[in-house]
Amino acid sequence: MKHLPRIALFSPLPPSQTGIADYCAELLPELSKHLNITIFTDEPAIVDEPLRRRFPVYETGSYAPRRWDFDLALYHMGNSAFHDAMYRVFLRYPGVVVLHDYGLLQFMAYRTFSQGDLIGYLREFGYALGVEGVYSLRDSLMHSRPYAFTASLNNRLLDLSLGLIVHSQYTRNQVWQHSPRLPVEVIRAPITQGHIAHPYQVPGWPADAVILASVGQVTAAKQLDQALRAFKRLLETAPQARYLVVGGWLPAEVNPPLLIEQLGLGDTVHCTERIENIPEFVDWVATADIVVNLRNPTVGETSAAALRAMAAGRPLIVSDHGWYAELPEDSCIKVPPADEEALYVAMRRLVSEPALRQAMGARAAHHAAEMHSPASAAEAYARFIGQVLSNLDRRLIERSR
Amino acid sequence: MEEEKWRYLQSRQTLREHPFHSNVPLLGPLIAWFRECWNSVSTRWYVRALIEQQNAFNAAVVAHLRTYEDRLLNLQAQIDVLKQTTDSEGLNLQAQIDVLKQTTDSEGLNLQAQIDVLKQTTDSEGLNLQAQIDVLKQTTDSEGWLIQQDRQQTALIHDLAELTTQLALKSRALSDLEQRLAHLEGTQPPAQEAV
Repeated sequence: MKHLPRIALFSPLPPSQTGIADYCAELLPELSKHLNITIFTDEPAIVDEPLRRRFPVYETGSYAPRRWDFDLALYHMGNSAFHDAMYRVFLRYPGVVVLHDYGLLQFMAYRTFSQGDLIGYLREFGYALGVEGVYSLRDSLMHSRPYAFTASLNNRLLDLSLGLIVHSQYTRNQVWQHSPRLPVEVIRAPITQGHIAHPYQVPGWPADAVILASVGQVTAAKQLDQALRAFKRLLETAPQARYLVVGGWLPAEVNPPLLIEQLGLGDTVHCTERIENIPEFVDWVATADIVVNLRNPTVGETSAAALRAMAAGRPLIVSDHGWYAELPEDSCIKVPPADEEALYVAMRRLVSEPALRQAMGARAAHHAAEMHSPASAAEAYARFIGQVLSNLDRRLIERSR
Repeated sequence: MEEEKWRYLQSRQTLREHPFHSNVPLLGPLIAWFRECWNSVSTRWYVRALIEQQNAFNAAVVAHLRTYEDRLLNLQAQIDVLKQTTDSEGLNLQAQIDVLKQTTDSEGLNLQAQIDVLKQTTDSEGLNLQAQIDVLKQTTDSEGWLIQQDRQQTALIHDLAELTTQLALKSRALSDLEQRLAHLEGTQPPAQEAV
């Protein structure tokens, strides 16, 4: 009798406002075909009803007494506060990790420094960078010296993991620089197809408007300021162009209305509030003709927004590094990070060549369907988890000899 | 020159005609007279001039000697004075040297004492610095040690997780075997205990 591996899956889930929650919700139905899954999440009571009907759902902290019911724990780890409780469990009961963001600096700062736990923050710097790391951080805090916060602070997680799933070769290479013997599998991030998009019509915009868009919550790293400056230049030669900012923004980092006012862009730019559900978000993505998905710096993240744009058949303009550099050349234009001139040229080219837009969009949709299906991702997950378990079994036999 | 010698020289500086005499008994005065007479006839007027010349020369020599003697005495007196002065100066200098030597020795001792104090202070400061360096080194070592312990503990937790997973897999395999065995034997499998 063949049993499915019993997996304790830790992740934020909808309605939590994080891309990883949506990612899991889309993947779980397919994953359950290969794995016997029990969900552990922070607030089981508010998890979307379809998931609760389909899977046992427990509170994250209740794993310890149940741990012998599972063959392996699977943690979806990202660089945000949504992962704090599961990380505490992971520290005691490590398992396989899906690393959505390579860098975890903001997450570590949140769970230590922001909670008044300076020692904990120093400890993570010490673990990652040694005594020098501790002194650098201490000096920077005590003397207000600028500190280049480039540390990934993921070393402990990598050392504890029994296996790692990442979404790009870039991240795998980064991981192997630190942990060359850690089993790491690159599995393309899944994205659901088949959603019928209903583009919006922004009041006052011309019917022949060519719409560019930044989609997903805007942060400083998404370089909206550069995009809008390039767009302003574009208006000189393409007055029918318009720009959408979809998904709200992080007020502590950016202020799009002020930026629009300073650049004198007026009604040529439209900003939406945060979008609460995926269909609405996809409709807004489909409203755009071109999606601008810049990121600088990158922390090795995967952009679900970019994948949704590809799935919706929209060509992309992306920063040429990290995960974005691995996107197919025929469905996006890659510009050097922080190169505003190259960005302007790419915008002008796509705005002025409708056939190119359509061809690139079609290839993007094809690529998303072929390479990013939840079904193929789930198979890859199950295959990798099977390898990890059999490798552990083999190591046990080797140890006993 | 001694006074007696001067008197001797002065007594001898003037030549006198030699009075002839004879020790021949009876004829002796006659012989002396004859010689006197003969001398007067043959040599007196000639010898007397020589005597006078010699006397003048002798007087001049004695006078010169006297002058030189006086000058020598004068020089000797000056030398004596100078010697006394030099001796006195020398004594004074020696005294000054002795004083300086004593002062130098004293200063030297003082300096040596200061050097010793400085050396002790330096040694003490050095020890203090070394102690501080040791403390810093220990702190660094301590922090390094803590980091090392943290990493080792993490590695142990990782190994424990591997073993736990392996144990869970084996427990599940054993449970499957027991179920199959029970099925073959037609009995109930034993209730699985928590690992």
